Amino acid sequence: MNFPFDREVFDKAFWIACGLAIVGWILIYLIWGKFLVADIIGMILTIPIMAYLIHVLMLIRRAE
Amino acid sequence: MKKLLTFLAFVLASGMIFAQNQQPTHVLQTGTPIDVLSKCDQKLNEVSNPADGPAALTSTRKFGWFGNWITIEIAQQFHYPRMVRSGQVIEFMAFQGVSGGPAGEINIMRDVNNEPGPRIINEGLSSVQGNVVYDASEAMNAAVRAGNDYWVSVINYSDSTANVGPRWFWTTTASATNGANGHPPYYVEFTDRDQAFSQCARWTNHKLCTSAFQSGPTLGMNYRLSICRNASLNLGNGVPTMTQWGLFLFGLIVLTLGVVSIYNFSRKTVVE
Repeated sequence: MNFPFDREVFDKAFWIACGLAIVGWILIYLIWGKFLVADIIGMILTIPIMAYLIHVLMLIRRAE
Repeated sequence: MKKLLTFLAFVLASGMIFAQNQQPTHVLQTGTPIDVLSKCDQKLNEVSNPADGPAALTSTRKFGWFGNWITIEIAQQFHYPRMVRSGQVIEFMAFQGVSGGPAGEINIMRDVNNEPGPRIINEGLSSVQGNVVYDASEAMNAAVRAGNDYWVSVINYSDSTANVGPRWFWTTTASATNGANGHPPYYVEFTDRDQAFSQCARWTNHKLCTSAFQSGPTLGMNYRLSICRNASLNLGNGVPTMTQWGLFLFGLIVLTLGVVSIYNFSRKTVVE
């Protein structure tokens, strides 16, 4: 499997993922009322994967 | 590519770490504490008021001779078995289905001729309602010795309607009326609306003491007590389940791989 990667697009996607993370933090606090260590670790792992997913979606859109 | 796969493998491994089943054992349980009870090696029979069995006796206590507050105490005999391994202690006690409340006491008493003897432990309970896990104190562990018989009792500060009808109660001071009859300072009495007293044994069961008297309404109390020692924690690990974060990461990775596949397929199609 070939994993496409465009640094410029990824940088943009990364900031979008960070914005989603902030929304996620707010939702976590609203729903559960507190943060756990698992939330911090989970968010650290999720942000780059989510950024890569967004980056691939942006690549698909650009290819169209 | 290799680095990316290594990173994904790391993420998956991290997800499995999240999957460790964490079961807190020293917190108040609001639901049925099945997971907690599975770690208890001493599950006593359910007792309720009136306690009719020889190993479960009833006593009641009235706060203030003419006061309205009355409590009921149900004691249950148990054998505290020898330790399975050294260093074993009672970690907590679990109450199941206790009714009454909102607060009470727990007592552990020595066994004297198959009856509750002197109290060796008396501690407050913040709640005796619902399913409660009560942390055992160091004093409790220091007081009980493996291989002996004890009585454990729960006192429920619950009922403020002592004068509504006939009640059992246990007084700690002999009244002038009863003291004149030579009654001991501790005993169970049976009283009715007119404060007419009759004596029973201090610890008794309902059937024995009420045989000669009118039976009154009983205070609602019912519990099942489990004594949980840490050696029983070696029963095995719980089945690991993925946490919310583990599931989320797993789904995200699968989704990413799917999108990458679509991208590759579309590029391949374009090239062809």
